[in-house]
Amino acid sequence: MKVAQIFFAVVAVILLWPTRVRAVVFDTENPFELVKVSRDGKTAYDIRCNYQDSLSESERNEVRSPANWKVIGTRSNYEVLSAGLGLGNSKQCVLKGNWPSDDDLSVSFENSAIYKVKKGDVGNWSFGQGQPPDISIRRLTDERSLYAVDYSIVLQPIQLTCSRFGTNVWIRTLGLSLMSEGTIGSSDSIRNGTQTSFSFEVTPFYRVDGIMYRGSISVGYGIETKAGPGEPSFLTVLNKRAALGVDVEVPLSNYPMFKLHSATKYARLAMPLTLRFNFLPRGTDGAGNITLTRFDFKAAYELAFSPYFILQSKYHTSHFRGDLASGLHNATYSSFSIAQDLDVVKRSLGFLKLILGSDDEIANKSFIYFRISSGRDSPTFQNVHEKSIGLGTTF
Amino acid sequence: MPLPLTEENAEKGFCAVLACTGIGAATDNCDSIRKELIRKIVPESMLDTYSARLLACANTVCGNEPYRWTVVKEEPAIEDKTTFDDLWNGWFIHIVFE
Repeated sequence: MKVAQIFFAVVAVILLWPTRVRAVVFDTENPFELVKVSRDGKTAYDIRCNYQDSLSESERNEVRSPANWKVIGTRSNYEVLSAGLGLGNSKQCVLKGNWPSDDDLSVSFENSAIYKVKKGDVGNWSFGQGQPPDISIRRLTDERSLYAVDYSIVLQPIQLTCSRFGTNVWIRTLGLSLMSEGTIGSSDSIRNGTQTSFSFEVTPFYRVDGIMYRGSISVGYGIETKAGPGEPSFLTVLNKRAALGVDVEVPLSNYPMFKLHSATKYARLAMPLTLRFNFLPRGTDGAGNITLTRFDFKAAYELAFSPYFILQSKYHTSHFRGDLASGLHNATYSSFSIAQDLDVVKRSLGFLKLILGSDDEIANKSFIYFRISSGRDSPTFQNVHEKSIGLGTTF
Repeated sequence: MPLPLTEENAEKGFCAVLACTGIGAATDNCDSIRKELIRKIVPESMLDTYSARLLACANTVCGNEPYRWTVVKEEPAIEDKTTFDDLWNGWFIHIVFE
């Protein structure tokens, strides 16, 4: 009798148990945050929620219903216009409404607990971005005792991303950029020199025929030095001056390579023809002498046919204005490089890892290249004709 | 009418975003580049702006026809070892919403 009573009690409990035994469980650390989004081409602020477990279909429908949500501000309560879900494994949802970004917002779902909305990345500042430096070491083929190290470092310590989204143009403004590049060689016969600048940049992006291109306008201050064993100091200052620069990526110039890569599946970003114009007003050298005003024009282009066959060419020209009595005259420089992605060779010839290091050490990025360069180029404007073979993370 | 945000459609959108940055190998699908390191695929002179290019592409591709999804304005963090698979898991599925 007692067993029967217990059995019926258990059955009754099961039958009468509320059908909704589960509830949406929000993340404990960061349940709700305000995020900046693009909606119909304009900036808006949505509330992103983070939940813990995957949702059942009925729970997904509950989350999608705006009526189940309340958004409470200090100045007003706000209507939730719509609620959407992210992909299944993102475990996120988003609430859309017309609340301002500067109100302190709280959220309640199905009249349960009230959660404070954290202000996520709604500000425009970001700090300390940058890429690992690119370094290559090369040996001049004509004179085997001569070696040179080329380096390039870009850091973006502060970025004010006053981004404006439109249908086709996205503008990121005011990035503070620190850039240094140069060559340090074992002899004065190599074009030893460094260029370091600190600049503010405005960066518009524009989409043409499905591919994104970038421009940039920069204003800054820079130092050019001559480096090398023959100098009185290791880094002799040649020019300290302000600089105005404009970068343009020529739309559609990478389209043939883009189409070739889509056919061959060779995965390297098809690089557009890149043009750069620099205006450098008069500055001073390390001894305090006035340096000449200079206009630079630079062009770079790359054709990447396969991992074994990447061509890159560069053309630079510099024009001086003022008294050229010091021996300076307008200069041109050109270089032509043939490079091969060494990672492909490493995959097939395992013993090369003993020489070049493991994949982790050089992050699977290494090139071997042959370069012919000729002419006079900033910062030293030394006339050289070099053929070199090199190895590095760039070429 | 927005395209439903399913895994399959999101994959298409992701590949379209990569193709928009200039990677031709991502035009049909992303199979050939999924495991590749971003730092290796992107030429050095374009690497420092690649995060911004990705977001600009996500905005213009996924925010417009045929997708019309909401796109959160967050640039991806690209480290030395970030692959395109990491980009999918760590960035893309967190910035698109139905």
